[in-house]
Amino acid sequence: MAVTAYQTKTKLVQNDYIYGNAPIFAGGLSANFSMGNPNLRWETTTSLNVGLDFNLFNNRLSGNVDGYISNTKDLLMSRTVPVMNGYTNILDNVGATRNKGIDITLTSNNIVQNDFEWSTTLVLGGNWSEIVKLKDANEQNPKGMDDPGNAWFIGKPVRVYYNYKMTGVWQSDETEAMANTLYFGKNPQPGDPKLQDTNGDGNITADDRVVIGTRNPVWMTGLTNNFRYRNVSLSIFLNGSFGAWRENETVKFERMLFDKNTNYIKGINYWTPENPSNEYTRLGYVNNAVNYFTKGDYVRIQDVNLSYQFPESITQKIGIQGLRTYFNIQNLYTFSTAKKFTTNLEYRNSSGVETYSLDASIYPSQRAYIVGVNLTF
Amino acid sequence: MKKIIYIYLLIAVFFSACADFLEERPQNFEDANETLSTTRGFQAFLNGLHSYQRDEFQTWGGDQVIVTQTATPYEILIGGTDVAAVSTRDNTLPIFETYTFNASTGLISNRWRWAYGLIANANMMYDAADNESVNWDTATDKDYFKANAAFFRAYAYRYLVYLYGDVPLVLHVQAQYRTDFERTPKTEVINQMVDDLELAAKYLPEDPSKVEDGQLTKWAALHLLSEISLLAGNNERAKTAALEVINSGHYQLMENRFGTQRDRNGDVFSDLFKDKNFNREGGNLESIWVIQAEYQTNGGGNRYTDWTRRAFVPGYYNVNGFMISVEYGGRGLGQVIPTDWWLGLYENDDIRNSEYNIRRTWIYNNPNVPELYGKVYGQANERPNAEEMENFLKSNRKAGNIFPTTTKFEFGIENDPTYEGNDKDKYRMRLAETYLLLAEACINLGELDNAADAVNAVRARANTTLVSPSEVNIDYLLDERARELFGEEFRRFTLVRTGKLVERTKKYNPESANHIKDHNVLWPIPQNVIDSNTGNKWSNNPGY
Repeated sequence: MAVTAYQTKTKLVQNDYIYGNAPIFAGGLSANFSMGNPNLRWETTTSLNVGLDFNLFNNRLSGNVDGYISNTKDLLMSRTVPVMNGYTNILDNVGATRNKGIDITLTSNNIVQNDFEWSTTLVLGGNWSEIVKLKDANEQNPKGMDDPGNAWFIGKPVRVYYNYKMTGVWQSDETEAMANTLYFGKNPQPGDPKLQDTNGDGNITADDRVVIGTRNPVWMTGLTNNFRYRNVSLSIFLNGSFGAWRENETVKFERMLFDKNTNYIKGINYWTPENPSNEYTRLGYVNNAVNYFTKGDYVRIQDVNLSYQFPESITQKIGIQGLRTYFNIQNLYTFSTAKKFTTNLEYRNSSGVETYSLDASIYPSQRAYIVGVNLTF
Repeated sequence: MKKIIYIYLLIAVFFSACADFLEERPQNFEDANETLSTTRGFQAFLNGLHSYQRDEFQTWGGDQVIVTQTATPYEILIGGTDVAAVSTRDNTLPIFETYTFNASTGLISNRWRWAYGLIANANMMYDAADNESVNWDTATDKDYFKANAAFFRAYAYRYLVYLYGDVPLVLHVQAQYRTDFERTPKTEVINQMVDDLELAAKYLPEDPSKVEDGQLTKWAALHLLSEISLLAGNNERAKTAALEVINSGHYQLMENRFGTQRDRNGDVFSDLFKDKNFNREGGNLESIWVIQAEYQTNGGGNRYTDWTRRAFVPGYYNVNGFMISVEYGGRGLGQVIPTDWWLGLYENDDIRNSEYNIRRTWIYNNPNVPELYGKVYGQANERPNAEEMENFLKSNRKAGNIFPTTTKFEFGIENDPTYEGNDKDKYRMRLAETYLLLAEACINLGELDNAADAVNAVRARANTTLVSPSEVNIDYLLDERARELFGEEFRRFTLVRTGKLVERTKKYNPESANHIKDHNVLWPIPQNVIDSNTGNKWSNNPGY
């Protein structure tokens, strides 16, 4: 993470006011929860890489394998601190992480003939990150204190979800169990989610939260197959991602009540007395503490391209050098373990900003069909 | 020889590296230390404090907005108490009526954040005023700015103590951040508020005619000191502070028609709440501290700064036959719905109960629906039978569409009727409340004659029957506050101070009666605060 100019200073922002009926403009300045940190140190990373490049069977199979272990200390991160400090975010050297990974690229020319060619390229990257040290070490916690406010935990990846684990839905006939359980100080009702009682005290409080899973994928992969038969070429590109978890905003039914004129997605298996679902809660259920998560593994047919290159005998007649027509489909289909109704499995929203939420309000990636003609003079 | 010259040059370079020119002096933004070094800079910072405070009920943000709360920050301090239920329109709100909010509820953590943000700004100004190097224009500047800072600090702690109980007392911005804050016992925090307000009362300007409307005076500090003294159990100081304001000679209850609409139908109570009538500049001698706003004016706030109009004015235009009209108070959302108890609280001759102050009749106003146009809502045979009619009225009430309510918060711009902002000024303190604070102190002291006199000052202006000392008690006082200050006072605060929140909510608000529990007197500490305070794990308030 880079430190920009003056980040060690405390900056004020414009915050204007007026006085009186014939208002007198009063230019104002305020501090806005951020604080310069004059004690920043450089983040340092040491890494060990082992690489192997190979080319086998007369160029039929080539590729490389890279393995790495990198250790970062004085990791620079924006840390959320108690607002009682006078600010909530401060850039700081917050700890140390270890990253292990492997990157593999394989290219195989499966068939090489005059009329028919088939080649395959596989790109595969695996990455495991782990926090090894945080601040505020003491005798009981020599590696530092876990920091639930930032969702940083020793031994866990840097970016994780930390929340309640939903195990089912309370059903109408479980009256006695509901009467004997407190969820945040209140008895649950039929249609409320059942949450994992991690500390086993019979009630659900903030202490029952667990690390749900990593937000970053462990494995990311891309697979390209190129086929050519005479003048016809077909290329298929698949990409995939495995190991990441996603937040599922779509099944937060807070605003979804029939008398409120809100839209909701048809066909969700939400709970009703007649439909004792264990998958999703009742409509209109509001609990600001609980979010829902789903595994976000997917394989997507990202790009299919079929093209025809007109032979020279034809192009020469009409006086051009080359002519190619093609049909291209982008984002053809996604196979996913993510529960239905999750719309966005990517890491960036439409403005390119990193996002980990599966927000119902984000448009799903669109499918595109493209027909084209390529002329070369 | 050459070598020696090089060595000299090198030494020169090293020495100059120690000099000032390497100190960063940013030119392209306002650095806190640079700003808080002159009177001019302190004034800009004070303007910023006012603006920050005004954003206490900011909803959705916008340019220059530092702190936002989302949809219903004002409503949750009033709905779910004895005076008001809430509508189901916005899902952030019903959890405050059913008391199912929890430590992760955004409105609960945002309030905490707003308060400590105001405290941080006040602390910065207070501490910086003590720097020897500040270049003051006049000798009194230092005390003036410290007094303002002290007022705002107390103002912010007031929210924290009422809502969360014991909270960390922080008087300085932490140069090295901490994660091991302790919760300071409430009494200690209240003592600090009293000290701050005494200081503010000592050094803030005395003559309200000599400051701009919106700026703080000695009397604003004393008014707040009176309330906080009640909270501290120091009824004697609460009484004297209120009396100082009342006897200052600067304020009086408005008894005759005044202001921009004095010639239209209305009465003096409705005049008090008309645009441009809040400030002294508008002829109002009752207002002690008014939050300033102005439609589409630099520094006047934006369309999300304050949604009290959205909170109180019904969303009548959602009912077929109605359209948005300035006459009906503009574009409300009807989030706060008075309880039947509150509606029945007045005697008939009480001007606060007049048709100008409580809107009970709605006439269909959309000419594009001719079958209803001009008819009275609820009497136009809108539904085929009595049962469906009752459901129609009930569901319109709970959806916030049409119900009888106060007109205090009506606001509309003729040429911009769909504008959602509320750029009318707002009272935070007016003399009628000072009288009622005095009455509360006197009741606690057992001086019922004095209490009755104070209440009667307010009742006389309202043209209603006077109360006798034997009738005055804390419940009567709370009734009177509801009659006079509905929507202006944060009812939750008043009921927490007097220890009546649970009792009166159960008694007068059927929609919350079965939900409110003893532990709901306090809100939970926000979970994100507990989570980030890694060095000292707090348990939450009981029941959460």
